[in-house]
Amino acid sequence: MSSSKQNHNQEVLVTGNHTFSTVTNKIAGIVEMKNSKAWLIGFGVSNLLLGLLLISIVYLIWEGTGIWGLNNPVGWGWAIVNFVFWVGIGHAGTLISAVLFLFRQSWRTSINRFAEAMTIFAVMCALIFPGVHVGRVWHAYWLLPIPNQMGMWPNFRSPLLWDVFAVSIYFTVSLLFWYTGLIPDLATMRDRAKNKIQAFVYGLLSLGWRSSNRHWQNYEMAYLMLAGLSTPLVLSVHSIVSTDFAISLLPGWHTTIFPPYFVAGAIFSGFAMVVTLAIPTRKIFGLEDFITIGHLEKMAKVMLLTGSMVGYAYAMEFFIAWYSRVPEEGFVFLNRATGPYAWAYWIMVSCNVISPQLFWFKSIRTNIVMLFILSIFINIGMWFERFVIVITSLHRDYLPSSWDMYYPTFWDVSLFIGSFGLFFTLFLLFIRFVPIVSIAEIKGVLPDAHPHIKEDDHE
Amino acid sequence: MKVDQKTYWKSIEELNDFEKSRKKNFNEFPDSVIEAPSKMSRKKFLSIMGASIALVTMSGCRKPVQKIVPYIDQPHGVIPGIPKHYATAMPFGLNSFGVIVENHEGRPTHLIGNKNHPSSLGSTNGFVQASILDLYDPDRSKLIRNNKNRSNWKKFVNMLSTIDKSKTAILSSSFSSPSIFDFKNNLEKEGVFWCCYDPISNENEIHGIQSSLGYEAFAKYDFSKSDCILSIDSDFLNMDINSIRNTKDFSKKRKVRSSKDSMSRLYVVESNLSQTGSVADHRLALSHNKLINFVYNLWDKFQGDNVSDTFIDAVYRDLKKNNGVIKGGMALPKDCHDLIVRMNHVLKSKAVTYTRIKETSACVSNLNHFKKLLKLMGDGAIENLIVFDSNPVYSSKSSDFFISVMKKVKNKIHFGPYFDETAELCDWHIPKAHYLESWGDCQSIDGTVSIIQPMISPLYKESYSDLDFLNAISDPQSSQDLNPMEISYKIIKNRYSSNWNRYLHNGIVKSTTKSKRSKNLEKINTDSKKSTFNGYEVVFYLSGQVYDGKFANNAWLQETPDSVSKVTWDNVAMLSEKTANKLDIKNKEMVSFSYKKKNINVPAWIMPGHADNQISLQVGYGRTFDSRVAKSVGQNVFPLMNGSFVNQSIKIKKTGLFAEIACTQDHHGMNTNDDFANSEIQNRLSDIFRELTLDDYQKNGAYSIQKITKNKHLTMKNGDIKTMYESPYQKFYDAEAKPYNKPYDPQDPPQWGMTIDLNSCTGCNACDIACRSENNIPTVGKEEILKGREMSWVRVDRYFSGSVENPKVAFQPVACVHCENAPCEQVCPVAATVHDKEGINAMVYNRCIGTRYCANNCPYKVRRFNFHNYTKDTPEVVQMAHNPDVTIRFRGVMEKCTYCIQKLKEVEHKSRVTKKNLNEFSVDVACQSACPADCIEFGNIKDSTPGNDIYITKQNDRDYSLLEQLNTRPRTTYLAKIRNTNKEISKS
Repeated sequence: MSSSKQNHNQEVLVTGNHTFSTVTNKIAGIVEMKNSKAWLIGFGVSNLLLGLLLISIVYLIWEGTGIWGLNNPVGWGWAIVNFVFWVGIGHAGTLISAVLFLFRQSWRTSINRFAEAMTIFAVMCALIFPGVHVGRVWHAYWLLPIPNQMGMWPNFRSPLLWDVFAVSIYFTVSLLFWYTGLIPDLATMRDRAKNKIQAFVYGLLSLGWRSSNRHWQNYEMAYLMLAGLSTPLVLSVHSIVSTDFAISLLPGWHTTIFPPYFVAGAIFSGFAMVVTLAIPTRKIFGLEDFITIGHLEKMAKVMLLTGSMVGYAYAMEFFIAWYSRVPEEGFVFLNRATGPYAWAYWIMVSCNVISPQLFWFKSIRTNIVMLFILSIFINIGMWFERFVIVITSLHRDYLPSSWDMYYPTFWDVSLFIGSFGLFFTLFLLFIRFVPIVSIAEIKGVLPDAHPHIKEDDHE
Repeated sequence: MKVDQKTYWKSIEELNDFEKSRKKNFNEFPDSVIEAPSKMSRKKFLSIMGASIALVTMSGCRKPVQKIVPYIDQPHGVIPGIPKHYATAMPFGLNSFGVIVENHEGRPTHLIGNKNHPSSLGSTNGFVQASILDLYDPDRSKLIRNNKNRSNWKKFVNMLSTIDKSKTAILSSSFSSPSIFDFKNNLEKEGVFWCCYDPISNENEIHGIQSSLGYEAFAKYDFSKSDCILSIDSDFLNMDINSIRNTKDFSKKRKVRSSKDSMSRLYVVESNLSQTGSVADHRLALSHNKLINFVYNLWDKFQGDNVSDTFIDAVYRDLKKNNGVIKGGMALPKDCHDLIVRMNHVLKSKAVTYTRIKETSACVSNLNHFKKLLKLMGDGAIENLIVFDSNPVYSSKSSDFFISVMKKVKNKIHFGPYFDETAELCDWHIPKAHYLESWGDCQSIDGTVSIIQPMISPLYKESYSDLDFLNAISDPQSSQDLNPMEISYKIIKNRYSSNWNRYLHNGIVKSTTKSKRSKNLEKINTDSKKSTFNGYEVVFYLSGQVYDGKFANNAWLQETPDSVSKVTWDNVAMLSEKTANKLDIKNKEMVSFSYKKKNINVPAWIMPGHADNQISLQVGYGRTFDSRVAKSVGQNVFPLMNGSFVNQSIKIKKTGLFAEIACTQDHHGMNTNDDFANSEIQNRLSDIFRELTLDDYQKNGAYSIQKITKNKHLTMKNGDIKTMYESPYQKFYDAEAKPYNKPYDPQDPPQWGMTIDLNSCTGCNACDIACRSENNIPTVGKEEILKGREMSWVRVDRYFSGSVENPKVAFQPVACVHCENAPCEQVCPVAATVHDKEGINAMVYNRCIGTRYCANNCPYKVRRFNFHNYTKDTPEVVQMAHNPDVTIRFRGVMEKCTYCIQKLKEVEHKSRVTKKNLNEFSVDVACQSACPADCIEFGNIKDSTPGNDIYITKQNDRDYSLLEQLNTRPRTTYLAKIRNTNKEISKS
């Protein structure tokens, strides 16, 4: 089978002459094979970082937020930067699986499974930070509207409370969506199980899936509904996260452009992270047939689009700061570009605005090495974007008497690095226990699945 | 992240001797400061690793239970929870301040000025406020010691009965107390040589007065009687023994209630930028020797000579016209003071009167006596040296020499509150009790005698009062079996028995000394001693934090920023930008000062407005005795002094090494190397700190300052001025139903508010320390201040504008302004900061989970966060200083100014119980009652009954809100500053 045999309008989504059975063998085989050395090393390193995360959290709770570099004007530091960074990364998964599903973009099938997994793990990482950054962690549950004898409810006017709802709903729906999509594949794993434990666990998780016509019908409907539910969430989560800043009256935060700008930035960073993860994964596990260069190129195009939107937002912030004639706001933006944190600002601009512009060239979009490097750049740039927003706005606000500098401490850094430990630990476990490409869905985009495939042969 | 590649030194000792000081500095910071997290020890690491296991069972961890035990026999008149108030007085060198002590169940917690006492008039300053912490200082000496071993009073008295009084000398610091003075006279009759000496004193002034008037006298100034004041190097609003009274009188003349009022004008000619200089309408920066020339030139002008100096010309005319007065600083030489007395005589100034020292019970510092003492000691003529509350080993201008002659004295006795540098070299040490636990008496500079009555029995049982100690010297037999305070009580009781209860209640015994205006002058010594010195001068002055070192162990004062430089926990070498450039010294660079083999390194601090060719050093730092706070803070510069305030032969050298200085306000509008930030600050300043000239105000009212916000914004095509900040919800705020819009009804909840008159604020920080004491605000230490985590609820912002050589200074106290439309309240997710119906932006500590969102959203940045558990290690005795009406905040909780809500509720409660209207009770919040300039008004802003000052000030046309464009509608507003400039000078 080659591309010439396919419908002219249909692009090649899976290469390598795969049939239904080779697909199953290939993808399920990744889970079933023995641990490779590379995996073990990766898992070991991730676990060490996870340990660092735990130590950082315990010391934080033991000693208080004073172990960070925070001070009087700068009340939020790396913790909030990291929170927004991870929530942003968590955007690509739902976008790929839900929005692209509704738009019938069938190329998503190759990447949606691990993009969604990445979303869930990223949101888990994100959730750590608002949880531990509060001064009295043991009372953090007061953020939830739990009926109590004091008759105290949380303050519904506070964007932090909206955050609690937005992020927890997003996490729940994303998890359900991911799990629903997993059911047919878990059943496949159950059927191929070589020992009782595997058979039992996969059997339990696959909820009695027997691939009957009725199962498929219900499954498709449930999947569609969840996709419909998740789609507004993709837009709402980061819009609401952006209101943490936009609702305040701090110059540099108090900006109406924030919701769309944050959503674009989130998709931008999410796709960059998917690319960062996809490139080594497909190489190591030989998934080049499923995650083709075409997939990567499409993601590069999304990054080009969203990167340009982000660049536009940066420019527009400056324009509005000048146009509004609010002196404090004008100063904040000049201070970002020329003040003591200008280095962070220019890292952000070069990584987020300049580097994605290289994706105009097809040769770069299809160059794996360049793609990988640029995706890392974008990840760095997007982290610095949040750093610039949070720190540079706070460190010089209305009254110059309070102006001060913020320097991170060891514990600021360790918590951030540690969160990567959690992320990669979960991701590596995911690779070992769940098919990283949706077997059921990928079969649907195989040429074999085309109802007229035989007719094409006769042509 | 981005740290300069310079080497930073935490203290000067570290630079001098790195290894040694590393061990020593281990305990550098006070107990309430937590170990810096960067210093993670192995033990700590293990404990955290263990804790991560224990975390599972964390639910079992609670704070230890502390029990409150009721009285079994309740003392008469004490109702638990209701404080008692008693009058006493705080001796302060030659002066004393009358105070009212708030006493909770026998435990003094807060000081308020005594309204009846002429040297405090109901206010206090930072030293008075902070002295309460000295009472509870755990480092105070607790034991009687003989050769560093524990001894007792009986053995000490036995030893005293064997000494030969004619071979005994007493070295004391200056004092003013009738009872001590009597002891002095008696002891002198018995042959004791009593020497009174302070390294920094106003001796020059007294000698100057003597040479012009013919007798030794104090000059007593009343600035409310003058419309034109010229201060020559005198920081009379801050570092003067009578600073409270001076500020009080001065600010009376600076109150401008309407554009019809007038005010006094202040000229300051000085070398270092002092607090008084910052308040001046016109200021001239001259180095010390040029200051002396200035006095001579001015005298020439008074003589009718032609002096070609527009400043002197204008000042002279102004002084003549507006019943002017001249005040000289203590660093000026005797001859200058002589001339100042004569000039004041010519001016016929009513503002200055003289009190004969002979008619008072003051003992004035005398350098000649000290020299004589050193000689006698050197000759071996002294067998017994009694150091009476003085610390010559630390502060003597030639301490090495002092130590060498001290060794020749057989028997050395030290009496003082600390086992300090001198005590360590003495054979005997007797702890001195704090004034709040002693009986005694004192006389203030205007002659008012007050009784010092104890508020608590001595915390450390072996500490004795001044009178106990002196009685033991003069009559050992009668003192043998006595407990502390027994004798002193008898002495005081006998002396003042005539009206005992009234004296104690009022806190004053009627004054008996008269002060007179100058009548006849002595002949003048005509030869002018103008200086032609051209090198670098080093000038020494008292620290506004630790004074001459006696407050060095007071964490409140150490943490209070210097009024002008805003530096905490350090002394710095102030110099002008020009001089720094000439010497190639950078800001915060260690500068080495060498004088007679002594080499001392002090960090440089470039100070706008400092005179060129001069470096100013604060004394009082660099204490070496064993203490939690004082030790290793700053550097002792006494060894550089050469018997006078100025030393012209010190070698100054840059070192290329840099120090970390904990400054609470890094940006003031004149930072070197940050033009971008400076220009922005200057742009904003006219809006943040509003000021206008008196002429402008009298002509145009406050128009120019009220229009500032609007002028900045858009002019529409039809000519309207629109601001971007006009709120679409204005109607909502103006709604009748809002409590602050309703007409006044005494039955309604009061609407609390505050105004701060920027025109009278002198930036003295008394409010800051009073607030610290009233509201139990923790001190955090240098490391935390370096990180920018100071906890003070009210801070005094200081900005510079104009030229670096002669800047205009702005002082603006900022605490929570209690916005009616508070940005912090909206963003708190758990509703821990809410508004009450009295207009207070209340902070619910119990509910706060510490998201810090409120602090981020506060445009005034007045919210303070407990980043660590700052009170964890507070020693038990220091805990006694806490106000029981205010809770201690745990780590992770936000705090801020509450308008002293505990005081408001107390008054409201009284009004409810007595069924009287609230406005019949007076409410004084801590900062307001402490403020010596009376610049803070507080009360019910709706109450229009006559006499309610807050209502009147809110109607003043100079009243403006800070950052009013944000529509936060703050309850604390400011009255714009007025500068009473002299056109003749401002033109040139």
